[in-house]
Amino acid sequence: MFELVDAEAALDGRPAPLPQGIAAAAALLAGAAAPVIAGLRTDAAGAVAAVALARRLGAVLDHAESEAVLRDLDAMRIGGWIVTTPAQARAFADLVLIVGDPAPDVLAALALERPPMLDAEQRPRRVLRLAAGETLAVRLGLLRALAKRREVAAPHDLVTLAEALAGARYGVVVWSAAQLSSLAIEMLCGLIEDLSAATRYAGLPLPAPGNAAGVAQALGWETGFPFRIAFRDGMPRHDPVHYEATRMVASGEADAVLWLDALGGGPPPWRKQVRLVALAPPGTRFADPPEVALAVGRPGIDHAGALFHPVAAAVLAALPTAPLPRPTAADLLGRIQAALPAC
Amino acid sequence: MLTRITGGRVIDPAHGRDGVGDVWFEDGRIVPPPTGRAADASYDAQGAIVLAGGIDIHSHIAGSNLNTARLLLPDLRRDGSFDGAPASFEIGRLYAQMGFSLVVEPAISPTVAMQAQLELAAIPFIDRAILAVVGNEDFLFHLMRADDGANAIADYVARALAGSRALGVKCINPGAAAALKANARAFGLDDVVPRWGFSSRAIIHALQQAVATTGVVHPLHLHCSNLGLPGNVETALATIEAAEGRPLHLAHLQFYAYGTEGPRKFSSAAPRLAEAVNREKNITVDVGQVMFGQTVTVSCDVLRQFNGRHSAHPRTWSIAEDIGNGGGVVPFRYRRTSFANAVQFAAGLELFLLIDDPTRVFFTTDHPNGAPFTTYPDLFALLMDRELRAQWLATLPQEAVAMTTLPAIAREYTWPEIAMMTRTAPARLLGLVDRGHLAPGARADIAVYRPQADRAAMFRHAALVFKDGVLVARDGEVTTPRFGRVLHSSPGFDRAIDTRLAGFFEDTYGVPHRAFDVAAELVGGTEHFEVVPCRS
Repeated sequence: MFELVDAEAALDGRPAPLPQGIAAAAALLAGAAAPVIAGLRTDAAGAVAAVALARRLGAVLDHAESEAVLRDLDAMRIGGWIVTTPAQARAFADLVLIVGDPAPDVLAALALERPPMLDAEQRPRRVLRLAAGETLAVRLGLLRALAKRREVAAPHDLVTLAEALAGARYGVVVWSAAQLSSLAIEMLCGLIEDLSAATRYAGLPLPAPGNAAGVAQALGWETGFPFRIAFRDGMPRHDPVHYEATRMVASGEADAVLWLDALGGGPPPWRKQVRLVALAPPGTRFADPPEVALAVGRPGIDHAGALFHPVAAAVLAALPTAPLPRPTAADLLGRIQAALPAC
Repeated sequence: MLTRITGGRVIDPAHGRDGVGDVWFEDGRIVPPPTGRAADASYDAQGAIVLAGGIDIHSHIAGSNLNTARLLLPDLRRDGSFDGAPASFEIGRLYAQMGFSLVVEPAISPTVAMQAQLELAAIPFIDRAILAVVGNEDFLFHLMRADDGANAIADYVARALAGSRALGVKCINPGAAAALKANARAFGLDDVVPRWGFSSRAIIHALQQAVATTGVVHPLHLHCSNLGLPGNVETALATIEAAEGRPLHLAHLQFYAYGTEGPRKFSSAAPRLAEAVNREKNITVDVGQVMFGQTVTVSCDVLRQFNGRHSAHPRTWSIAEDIGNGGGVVPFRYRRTSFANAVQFAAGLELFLLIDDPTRVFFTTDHPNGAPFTTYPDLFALLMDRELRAQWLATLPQEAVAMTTLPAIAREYTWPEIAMMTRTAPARLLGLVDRGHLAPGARADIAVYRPQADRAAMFRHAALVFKDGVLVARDGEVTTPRFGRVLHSSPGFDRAIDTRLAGFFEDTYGVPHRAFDVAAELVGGTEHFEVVPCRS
């Protein structure tokens, strides 16, 4: 067990001055044949700096929570979707269907116990729940059939649910992609589409942790793609299967990883040994000391940063709650890039 | 460094200049020809055309809608031929190559301005600005009901500009996004927002008045109701009338130039619209020309995108509602073989050619909604060459061409008219005194084009492009990236509006209103921004 204490840098677990840490990180990455920049729990500036470094190194970029984000993106790409924001749902939804068991923080922000303030009738909301699980996609298929008034044999609870759903004026369906299969999300988007023929419905896909949605946005404007991007000859390529960081480490394709975790989400999930440069806040614990560890500031706590705001559902400025003079992820990545040997 | 561009045909309609001569600049500004000093650098422009840098007043180059288009359509980008939603860096590179030096992103809701400004900060070479979208927020409707409505709305608009760091005010299908939330599927100029009872017309009036009160130079920039629908010329004509002589800019007018004549009940009504624009001098328009090929439509007209989602090609879309306008992304392919698309193509060119005054009609494709901005070179060529237009028309369905007057129009744009439409007039419309012209004191934003048989090739790759006096592109190749400025207005307002916004947002939406403000320190700092003065 190694814990990054409040030193600027550590080399194989031993404290070192920051310039030495930067030089070691640059040397490790420059010497790698197939480097991966993973974790990516950072603010917009950190994501932009990671793109620049990946472009320079010919590295792959992936986020710790990319699986969940890509599940939502896949549903949008496959069949289209109609979505809204938590702020709008809070103000307007007269019916909320909660699928699975989403994290309580954003649900709390919806103030479901209160009538929607901008709704014409100001009646208490109807809050309904649908359990996640292996049969969810099938049950959603039945629900869609019922919503379209098809003759199907369906369990009583689904018949009741379908009747309730049809009675909404502005219904919102809430889910967390991490808990659902791609097929279930696609079926939810289809259900929303079906219900929208007669009344109004919108989906509310809750964001994954680690500023995954914000980083996906930043990579979008920087490269045109979300994560799982590789740079070849400076040009980005996107392949959701091939450029998955965990798979690349497990298969041995990746020979070095820069793990970027400015938001304190923890060390890499894999057990396999791979050469590691870690940028993490002090206090982060690793099973083994990384070859290079650099202490990084936390956006929105130690310094200002642009982060996806889960209630506004937009990338907004997050001002520091307790400013500390720690380097930002963008600072450190920029210094590593500057320390790379000239190409 | 004193620099001289020698021997080109210098066209600067702002100062009546059109003749062979030199342009001198130093420290990023145009200077008078110096006496007794030699140039440190000299560029030969003999036989070439020398203009100020181009200004695009309406092009979707940033924001969460455009970024959603990027994330929605990764497969379209694989072969490199889809320019509907390039990455931010590419936007700057492609515009600079064409000789543009300022582009306005016209549709950013204040609630998503922070991301839009981050995106603008990633666009190199050119100056940029956004227009802030208002007109569908419950907070605005709430103010329209208040006793101090007019003043409070002006404060609200000024506060939106301040929080977003925006140059001007945009209004997109006013009332319709609010009505869609209440399950309306159509919304015209005199339909009213459910629960509030305000018509689109009333919202436009209130916002025109508010913009005038703030002193912001750019008039209200309006996206009318009923976009894209057959017979919607009546909406556009009624909207022009509703302006009652007050300044109003109508965006992408081509999408409202449709009648119901002919066997398909779809025809060009561009001549009627052009006639109205020619008559009403308070009106400015941009065209939103359609060009053929794959693109993606991105719009805060969420009602239009909701209704149009099933015409998506490829068959995917994103409709995203928010506390104001929200937006929608619907990919679309304009086909030469399509009757409707051919009528749209012709109607846009009719507007360009039938509106007499090149200071009141602006050059846009509403990128990427009518076509990607990378089609501009072809469009310039079409405006300047009636033979080329005839060649294009010959490839279109003739029953569609018959629904337009385009074959009979002989006009060809001259170089001074091109300069007026894309340089002089946009600078005036946006209130920019040191851009869009080549007199001493102007920024040394200069584009040099070398005439050749293929006009489109000439416009695609300007021979020389200077931004603030620095060479940024030569024969279509950009130099080392550098970054221009982001322009915004900063009208004063009564801070009491902050208190009202704070209470409303916290309670209604669960987010502090201030959380939406653009943080300058995260987007390049104060040096990155430039304030455009308001009328005093």
